[in-house]
Amino acid sequence: MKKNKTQSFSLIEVLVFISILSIFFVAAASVTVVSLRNMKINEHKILATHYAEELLGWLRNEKETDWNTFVQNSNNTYCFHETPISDWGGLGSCDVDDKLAIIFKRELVLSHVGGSPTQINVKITVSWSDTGIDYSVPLSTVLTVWE
Amino acid sequence: MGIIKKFSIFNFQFSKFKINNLRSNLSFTLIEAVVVIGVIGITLPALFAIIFVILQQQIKINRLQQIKKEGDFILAAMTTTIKNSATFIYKEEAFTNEECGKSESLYPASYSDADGKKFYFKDKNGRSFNYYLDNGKISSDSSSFASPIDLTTGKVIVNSFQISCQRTAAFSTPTVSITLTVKYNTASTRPEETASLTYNTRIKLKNY
Repeated sequence: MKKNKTQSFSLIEVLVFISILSIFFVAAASVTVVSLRNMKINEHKILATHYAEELLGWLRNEKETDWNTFVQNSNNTYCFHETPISDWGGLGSCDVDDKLAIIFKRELVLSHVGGSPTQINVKITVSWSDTGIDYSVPLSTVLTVWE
Repeated sequence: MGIIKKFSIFNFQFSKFKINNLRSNLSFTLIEAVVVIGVIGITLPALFAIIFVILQQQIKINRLQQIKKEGDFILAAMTTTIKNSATFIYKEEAFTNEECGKSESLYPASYSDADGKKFYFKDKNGRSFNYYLDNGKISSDSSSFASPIDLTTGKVIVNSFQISCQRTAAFSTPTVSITLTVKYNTASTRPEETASLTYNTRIKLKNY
């Protein structure tokens, strides 16, 4: 009997071993999940930055083409959910299903002061939601009639 | 009789114990081996699946970064040069007929070229330069270069490059529009391994 006891693991030993092993596995799994989520967020951030810059480039186009038409469109909020951009998007904030590349919401706020402004404030926000957390890439600039 | 019986029982127990002892020391039972192999068989594929997903995600991000870096660079390089240096636009290298110039017969005037090989700029000192699509690369050539310079590396492919100019009136500023799509250079068509970005810009010439 005594010899037999030394040959096998006791319940305590097995429990300790399994709990250490499970702590290790849980830690490894959570690190993996966090790093994967970060990678996904980074990927979306790169795309969101590109979409914000795309809209800014298109706005420059519009501004270079005709300043007066551009000013008429000012003091408004727009939703651009199409790429490449062909026309002024929907007036007002983005609806729930106005998504760009499935997940992104791209909103533009144009504002100016006075009746015939020489400069317009541009605020572009590309936002998306990942596992319940909202992320956004804001881009602000000022477009002027000169340059 | 009693002693013999006792002895034989002892002997039996001893030999049974001995067998037990030997078995647990020297070999695994089939059940033990099956359980161990089963656990390993579940754990290893799970482990490699996780590593595979991480690697794939990393590759995707890396490719996106690469095309964004190169696309941003092409656009920045072209925009700066064209905006600051371009004065005249021609469609052939003889530099005779100006496009989007001051003396067009009809306004608004426009000219467009699909790969930039028939789209030349001249600066105010008479030096010419142009950008064109050559085998998936954007090349920059100039009368002051010995040979054309590639703006992109072999890691990306540029397709659907379009360059055009517009001028609304004889005394208005000419503008140059550029559209291009940068794609990662890979034979794969799986969405996890491909990456592509479209760029679009319009440049107002400063020195016209």
